[in-house]
Amino acid sequence: MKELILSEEELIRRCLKKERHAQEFLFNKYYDELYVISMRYLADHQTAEDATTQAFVKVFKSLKKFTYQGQGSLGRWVRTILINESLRLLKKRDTLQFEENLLRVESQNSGANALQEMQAADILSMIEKLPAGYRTVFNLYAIEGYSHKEIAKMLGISESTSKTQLKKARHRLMFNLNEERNYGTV
Amino acid sequence: MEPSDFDKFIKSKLQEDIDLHKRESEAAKPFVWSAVQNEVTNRSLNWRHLAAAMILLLIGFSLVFQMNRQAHQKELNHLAKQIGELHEQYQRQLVTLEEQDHQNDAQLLDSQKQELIVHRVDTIYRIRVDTVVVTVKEFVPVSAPTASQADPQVTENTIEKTNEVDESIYPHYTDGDIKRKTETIQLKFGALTARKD
Repeated sequence: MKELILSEEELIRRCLKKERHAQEFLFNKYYDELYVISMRYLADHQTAEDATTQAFVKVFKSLKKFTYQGQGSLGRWVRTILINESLRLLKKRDTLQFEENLLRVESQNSGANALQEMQAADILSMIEKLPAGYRTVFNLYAIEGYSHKEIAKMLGISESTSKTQLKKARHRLMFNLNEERNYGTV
Repeated sequence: MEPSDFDKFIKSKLQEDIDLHKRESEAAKPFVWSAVQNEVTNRSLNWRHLAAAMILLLIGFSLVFQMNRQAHQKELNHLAKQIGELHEQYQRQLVTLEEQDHQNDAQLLDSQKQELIVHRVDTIYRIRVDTVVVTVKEFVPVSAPTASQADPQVTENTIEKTNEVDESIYPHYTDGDIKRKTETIQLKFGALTARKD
């Protein structure tokens, strides 16, 4: 099949005309990234597959409502749809538990240089192993860049709970990274 | 490491090309694409299917209606034919019955020949009366007399008011059509008594 190379504006225009090749181009462009993001939130392949499917369906159905705002805006919009879909599935599975109490956490000192040697795949694997509540807040705050206020509104929790979950997530990750560094192949 | 630095570090690491779930994502890709296509084109496919189904249904109903109509017409024709045959049969039976009736009447009349004995002074008459059957072969309509033919004083307006029965209005039969057969036997007793003396 002849590979299409389209600008974002042209891609949107053709997808709105329901051109199959344009839709397939958009799908191929964002599929891998969306799958990885959904795994980061859901940590389950089957659910990640469902989230990715529903996200693309919503993208194609809601494309006429999207307003193009420059290079990269389409990608950000698609990722936002996927994150919302992942959160919906997390709530549906009823595994999103948030601990209110902030336990005393011993900070782990990890050398920056040592962490640099860690592979991205290992770090991603450790994030996926976090409990659902820690993982979700960490993803939204540290990686997606949402504020605690926005996270609280999205998840239906308080800001203090969001902050607590984030601290616990960092602590757990640092601990796991140190364990991996000390006992792993690195 | 400061928390903010830690976050930045993780974020930068995750932006690298990650092959962690490459195998699973590639395996799921065709299924995901197929599911997306089905969902996205589902509505238009439904409309097309619906339109095609409606057209087929219409054609089907038309065919059934036409077949029903033809069957009905066939049945009507068959019934009409049967009625025709029954009618002919009835006519034949009617003719047969009429003939039988005439024969019966003739037989009845034969058996009903009467003999009357009439006494007249010294003569005894034995009279045999035969009933005559008159067969009307043709009606001869007779028109009512005009006012000039009848009473000149009677006008056409007054004719309707009279209650008199005019025999000429009713059909009458000529003498040629009537068969009269009578036979009279006379017996004279006077002659017999004279011989004794």
